[in-house]
Amino acid sequence: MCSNASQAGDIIKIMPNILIVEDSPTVRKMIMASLKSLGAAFSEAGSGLEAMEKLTRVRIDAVTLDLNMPDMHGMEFMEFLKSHDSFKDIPVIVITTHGENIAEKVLEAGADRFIAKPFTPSELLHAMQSLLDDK
Amino acid sequence: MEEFSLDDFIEDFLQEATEHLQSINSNLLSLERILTCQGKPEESVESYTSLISELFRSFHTLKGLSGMVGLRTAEELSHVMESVLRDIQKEKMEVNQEVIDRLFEGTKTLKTVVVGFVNHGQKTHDIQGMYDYISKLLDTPNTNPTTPQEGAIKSPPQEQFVQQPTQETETNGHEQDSTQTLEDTLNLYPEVKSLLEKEDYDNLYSAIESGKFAYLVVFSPSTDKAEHGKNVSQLREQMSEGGVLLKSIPLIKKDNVRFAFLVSRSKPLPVEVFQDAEVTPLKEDGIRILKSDSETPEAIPAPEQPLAPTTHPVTTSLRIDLDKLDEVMRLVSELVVVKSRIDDQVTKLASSKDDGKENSIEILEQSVSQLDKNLRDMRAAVTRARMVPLSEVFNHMPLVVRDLTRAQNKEVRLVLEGEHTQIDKVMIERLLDPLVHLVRNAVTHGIENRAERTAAGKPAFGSLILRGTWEGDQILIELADDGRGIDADQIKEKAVQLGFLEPGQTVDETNLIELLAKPGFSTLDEAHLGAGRGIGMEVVLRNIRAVGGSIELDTKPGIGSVFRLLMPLTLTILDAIIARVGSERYAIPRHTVEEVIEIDPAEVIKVESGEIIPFRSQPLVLIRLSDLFHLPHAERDSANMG
Repeated sequence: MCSNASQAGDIIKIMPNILIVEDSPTVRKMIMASLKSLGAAFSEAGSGLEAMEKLTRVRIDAVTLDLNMPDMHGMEFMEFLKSHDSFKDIPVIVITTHGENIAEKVLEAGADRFIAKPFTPSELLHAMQSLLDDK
Repeated sequence: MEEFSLDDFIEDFLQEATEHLQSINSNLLSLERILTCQGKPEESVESYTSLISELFRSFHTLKGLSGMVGLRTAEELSHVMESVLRDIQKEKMEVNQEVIDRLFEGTKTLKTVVVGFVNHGQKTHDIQGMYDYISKLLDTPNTNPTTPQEGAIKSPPQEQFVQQPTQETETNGHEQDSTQTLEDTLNLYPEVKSLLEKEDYDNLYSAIESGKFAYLVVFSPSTDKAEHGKNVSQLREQMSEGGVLLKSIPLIKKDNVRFAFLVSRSKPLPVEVFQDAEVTPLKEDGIRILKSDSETPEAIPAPEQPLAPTTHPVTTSLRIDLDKLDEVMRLVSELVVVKSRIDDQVTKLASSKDDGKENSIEILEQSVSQLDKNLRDMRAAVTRARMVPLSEVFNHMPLVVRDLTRAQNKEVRLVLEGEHTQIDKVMIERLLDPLVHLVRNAVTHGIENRAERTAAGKPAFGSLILRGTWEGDQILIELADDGRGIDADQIKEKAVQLGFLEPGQTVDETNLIELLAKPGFSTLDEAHLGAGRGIGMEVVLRNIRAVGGSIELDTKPGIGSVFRLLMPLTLTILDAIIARVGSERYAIPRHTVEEVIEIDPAEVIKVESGEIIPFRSQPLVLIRLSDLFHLPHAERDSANMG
């Protein structure tokens, strides 16, 4: 029993936990499907507030972030993330429908990658893979 | 994997898209109500802004979703409507009837595109006409600061349709004073106070002044709370049901996050919220006393339903409350425990000599009766998990009524009652078409036009009430209109003409429905605009009866009609009475059994056409199951009637 538990603990330790912040459940599912081959665990949040709550409770290794959400805009969430020492190193991929013109603004605010919707599973996978490798 | 395999997501896409389309329609209806000033004024301020932003978000999400599944047409249409909403948000455009009409039309096309795609994989749909029709709104800005359009909603909307003393005295010192008072209360939470803007205070005041309950709710998330399903989303949901979230403020101290909410509601907050968060009521503070000298208008509580109800469409998948699933899970684990106890005893019994058997048998009996109880609970829990509110069908009706009344130039006020009554998901699916048909009929044939109504001394607008209530283990759905009623004589005459009825035969209300369902009458329906576009009365009857429901009609010429649909709550598991005939067994659904009586064979009287028995001093025809199902005649005694 004991050895099993510690093995499980080890697995959890090496398994990255990705927070998916996105208000559409369908798109959340698509993001998870795209990243399936990473063998990561996922935490889901349907709004910025929910994401902040998750962040304070669970260890997060990377974030995918939608911008237009109820409660709190994705940019606000990113500002929070990047202004706190314990979170500022978590890589963020912004995935949004806003088109390329917002990309610059998003990257300036501290996002590590920008992906426009509709995205393909492979572009998201590659972006996430390279961010996790860099860590 | 270059693209998503659509099959994996098509059901999710349909469900989510349908939810947004429903929510758009219901929000557009609310917006239209505000525009035509039918809504209560105090509703308007809070709901206008949230309606616009909800509409914007729905179109925005639909755009993103459609793009993800490669449905370009829907993506473009959503995009152009999203742009309209953005212009409204940015006050570049005013909301008027034309804007609402075009958004309604655009949403209809969007729905056609989505459904065509999901059902037939159709990706090319000619949307250019609709796209241009909508984008014309963007080309011709309709805001004119000097001469506002008649009947238009200006932004900010407060100026247009809210009559509140504070709004008129906005710049004098009066409001400043009251702001101070509220700030005193908020001093308890300096972090919150520093983040509040003037607009937030204004919103709070309007809410408190109109007699609503206002609260400051502070929630600290924790792993423990989260494990019990208590998180910020669940709290938000509890607070916003029947109320409005005026402001959400995250409070950040180092790595510790709390959330502060300002909420206004027509009813007090549910108890659970008080248990899970710190709640400070903002009602009983100095504001009332201070305001009492300035003739506060009589408090009118807002309606209980949320201002912008989020509605759920009829789809084949079902989202289940985690609580409901947890309950099922808990029962399953109990069952597993009981089963292993039984297994143990059976093993013991098999290996033991006579002396240990008695004890094992006793334990076995206990376990079996426990298992029996668990199974019953399990069945009840699964049934509950399948339950959804009637609002899933009821919420379609306002749009149906709107479209018909506009086409027929009538005015109809639809009232929905008991839409929270829960019914099996399968029943909901079977109910939609029949109810739409009955509502169409009521508006088209039942309710008279304005002139006719006025001449008959009725109010110019017709009333339609759709109500759901529990009725024992069934659900009663009533649709009542105050229209012209159904003229039995006219129907009879037509029935005789068509050969469905002998001249002189009487018609009561039950077989009036049967007659209305005859083919000839359906054709009559179809000649009318509106009615008959979906399904005929015959299909209504068939659908309702197919799921064990029944339908009754109560009609009075000149006064109106009431259709009563009695539906079983669920179809999954039915209580049945088992009857045995010879070696055959029959299960008769219990809700169809009116009474069980024992027949004394000596009382059976043979008549020319069969057999009868005396029942409450009346002859009752006796039909033997063996005759009905052409079974070989077994011995006929009372034991076989069980």
